[in-house]
Amino acid sequence: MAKRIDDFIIKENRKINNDFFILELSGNNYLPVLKPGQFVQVKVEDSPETFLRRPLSIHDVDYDKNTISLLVQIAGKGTRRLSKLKPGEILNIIYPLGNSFSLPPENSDILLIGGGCGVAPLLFLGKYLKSNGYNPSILIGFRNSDRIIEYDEYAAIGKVYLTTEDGSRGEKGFVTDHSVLKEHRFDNISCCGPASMMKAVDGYCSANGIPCEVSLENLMACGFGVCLCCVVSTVSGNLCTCIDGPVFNIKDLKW
Amino acid sequence: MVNLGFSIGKLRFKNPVITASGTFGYGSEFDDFIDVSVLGGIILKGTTM
Repeated sequence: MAKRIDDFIIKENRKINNDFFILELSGNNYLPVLKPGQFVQVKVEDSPETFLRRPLSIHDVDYDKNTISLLVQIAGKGTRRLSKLKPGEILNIIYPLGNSFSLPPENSDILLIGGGCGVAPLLFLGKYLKSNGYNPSILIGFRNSDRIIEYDEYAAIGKVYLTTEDGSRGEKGFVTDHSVLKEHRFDNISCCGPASMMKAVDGYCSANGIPCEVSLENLMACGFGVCLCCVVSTVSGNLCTCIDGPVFNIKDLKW
Repeated sequence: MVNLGFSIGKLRFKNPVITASGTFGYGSEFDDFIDVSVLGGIILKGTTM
């Protein structure tokens, strides 16, 4: 799919909590077909120290409104500048970048697992799966109840299982501690979150013979295979997270 | 139009606009964004044959 560099208009900048916000971007041109797992590279204006674009997962797509939503965590000067964008301002992005999650076999019992900001691509994936006849469940984990992101949005897709590290809502612990993983065997798992969480999910899936894809969050600069700074070790050799991923099957990763 | 072509040894360049080492991949990565053929040349960071 051809990559584009387009200006988008900020339609809404919605604060979720002190650390997360959602940018809804309205396209000047009709959106191409986008796939869950793909990402965009955002140009940060008026932040002189932010030289490189910021890679952000596509959180949601509305073709009727011709909008893309990005879930952003304030992690530094670039994302803090993005958090101050106002409706009507312009955001330049390169998109669509990267591969996408696979569609599992029909009637698969699918679980989407996300942690923290890693829930970002799972809303688009969940809606995509539902529109294709699947009935996915969602397991999401956060540090505490104040950091829960869009619970109701995920609940509209399927059954939601929740963990918080302090036990302030849902089951206490990490996503891999949730009782549903002991009580129920899913046919297929898609996952995005911190590397440590995804490795733990890899361990669970490998031990139980469950096919699993993970979306890596490696640091990257260009986003389309030029700088080679997001390389990941796989059974097929070193691959770029930005063009060969960010979605990988766990059996291909050497991590 | 002014001819900006020049030579380095046996290599002939049609203009002196050349990407800096390591910034432009193999050039093909930019096909969706620009017509790479307008460049005088591309300097690779490294390559294997």
